[in-house]
Amino acid sequence: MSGEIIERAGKGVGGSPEETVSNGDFYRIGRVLTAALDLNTRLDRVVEQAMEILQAERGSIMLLDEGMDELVVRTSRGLKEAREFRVRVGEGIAGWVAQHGEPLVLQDVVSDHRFRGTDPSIKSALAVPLRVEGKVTGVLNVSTATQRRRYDYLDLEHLISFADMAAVVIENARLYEALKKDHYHLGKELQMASRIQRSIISTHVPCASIRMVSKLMPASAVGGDFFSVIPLSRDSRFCFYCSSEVQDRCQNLRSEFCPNKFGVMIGDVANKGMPAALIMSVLTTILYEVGRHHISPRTILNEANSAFRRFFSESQYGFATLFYGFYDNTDNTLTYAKAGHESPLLLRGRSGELEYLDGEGFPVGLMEDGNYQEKTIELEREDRILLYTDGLTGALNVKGEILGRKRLVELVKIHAREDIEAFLDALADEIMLFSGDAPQPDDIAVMVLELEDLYDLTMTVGTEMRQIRYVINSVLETLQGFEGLSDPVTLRLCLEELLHNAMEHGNRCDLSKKVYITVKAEPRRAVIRVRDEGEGFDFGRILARGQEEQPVLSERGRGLTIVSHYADELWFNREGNEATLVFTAD
Amino acid sequence: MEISVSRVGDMGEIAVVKVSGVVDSETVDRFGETIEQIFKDGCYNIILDIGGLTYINTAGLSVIADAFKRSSQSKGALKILRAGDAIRELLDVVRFTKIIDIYEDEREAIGSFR
Repeated sequence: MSGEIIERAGKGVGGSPEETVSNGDFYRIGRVLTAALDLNTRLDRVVEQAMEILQAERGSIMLLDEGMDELVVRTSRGLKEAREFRVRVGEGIAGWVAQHGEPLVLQDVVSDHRFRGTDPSIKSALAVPLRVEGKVTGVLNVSTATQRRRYDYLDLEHLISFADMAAVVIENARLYEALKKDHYHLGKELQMASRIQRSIISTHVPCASIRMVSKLMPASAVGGDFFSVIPLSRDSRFCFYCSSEVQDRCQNLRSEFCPNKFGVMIGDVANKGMPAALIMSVLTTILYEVGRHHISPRTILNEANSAFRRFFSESQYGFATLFYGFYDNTDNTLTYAKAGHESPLLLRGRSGELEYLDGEGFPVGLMEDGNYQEKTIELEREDRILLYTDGLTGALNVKGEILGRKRLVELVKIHAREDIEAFLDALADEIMLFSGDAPQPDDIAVMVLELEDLYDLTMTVGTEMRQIRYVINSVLETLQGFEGLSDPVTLRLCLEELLHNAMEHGNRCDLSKKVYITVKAEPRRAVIRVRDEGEGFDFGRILARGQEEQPVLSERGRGLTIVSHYADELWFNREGNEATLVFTAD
Repeated sequence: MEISVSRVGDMGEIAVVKVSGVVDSETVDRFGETIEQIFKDGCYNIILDIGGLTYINTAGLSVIADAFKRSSQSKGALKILRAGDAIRELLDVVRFTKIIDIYEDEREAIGSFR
């Protein structure tokens, strides 16, 4: 052991006062260290400042890797050893400092028995522990190769004072970094949860003469509001599929669902965010499974109630409100039951009158017997049903006023004459206008269903190319009274393209998915609508490409270019999975 | 759909594909296979005689577009012979008429390969 080594006693520090680092200096140093929140920047600043104070040529910060019981060089200046250089706690000078929690002042480093370095030019060095709440988090080292400069106790005192401040500065940045990382991962998870939640919601109406639009606006990434369309399984004993009038047309339909009957539900779990989303997922699955085989909303709500009570028996999980309706296209009836849910609005298409779909029943999960009652109403063409959750009527504005049902009814009346897509958009806009900058307090779910005008032909076919010819022939047969039929070639071309697009690009050749066709034929106007069950596409982009002078080389683009050239009108719904084609007789 | 292939030119280096009737989802594959066979036989000069064609869907147009591209890449060419008004309009819509030459006279079409 070298006689020159002076281990710190911590007392009896000598030295002249003019060399002391003043409070003003510390204030300035503090400003420099905390200027950035980024950990690496802070580490760099700490080393630079320490070297400046001690007039050192070399400096480094080693942080403790607790799991490995090692010190890792996180930043260095003037050192030959690379970053990420590691030493075990207890080994070398820094290892000794970390292990004992004591600082060292070495006047002849190389001769010290703890020295493990490779640079023999180092003369004098200081190593002090970085401590947060008494715990060593790392080691700050500075050294010099200058003969004239030998570090003493006073230098050590300066570095200790500096290190105490630096340790806190580093620790804050470290915590911030860890928090940021957690936040990032949590954000990713939430994003995925949100996608999963949306994917379990089904909004494909299996019936060609019903249109439906919906909006789900959770107050956070995920929420407890939900809705879904539940097609009735064909194997259900209640399904009259085989006796329906489209039997002869649809006997080739490879679908497990009845094209004329389906359930529709909307619900609200009394909770928000992730807990609500989890409960919502379970409820949706149960309702979907039960709804596929039962037509009685009362039975379905009873099942949901007992399932909720079984899975979420603890009172803190609360309850959920639900509305379940079963629609039968063969006699145009809606049978429904409610579990404490807001009464949906029924807007009569002919008279413009508003009715409430009210009824008794406790929210699911609350009582052993929910006391659900069933009601049946007859629907007429152009009737519109607005299903919503209380987040809609409960929207708040900046003054803290609630939107309320009265105001909602007024808005519905104002926009009643608009097409359902525009109708839903207008409602959403009005709610946003009302809320202004006020935060959305609750999840909002809205769903609008409309019975369309009577068609001359409605067809549902499976995704099979060989169905195309059959559909085209049926459509052309329906259009016999249309005066523009003199040129069936172009009509046929357009139909073939739309059906082909629907099956290949829309349904992606998925045999379980269907294509819905409706035809309305008047002497001077024919309207043909083709809808698929795909995710839709960016029709604007493809149609725009058709306007360019270049030959249209993509098959889909070519088909649409042709259709928009020959048809008098062509438009798509917003999702891009429903095309409407209009021909007029000139 | 009726389809037939004959060889013309001094060395029989040009294939004339005569297609008539309806090219739709049920016949388009046969249309494509016929062209494919010509390429397989090593011939890349094609005259597509569509004088008797009454209907062609986009899959059929794709066969024409692919044949045009492949023949050009192989230093050959694809020409169209006798397009009726309706079919010509369709070729205009997808702007094939900008890249593919259309002839009314067979001798003229054959001559264009020289």
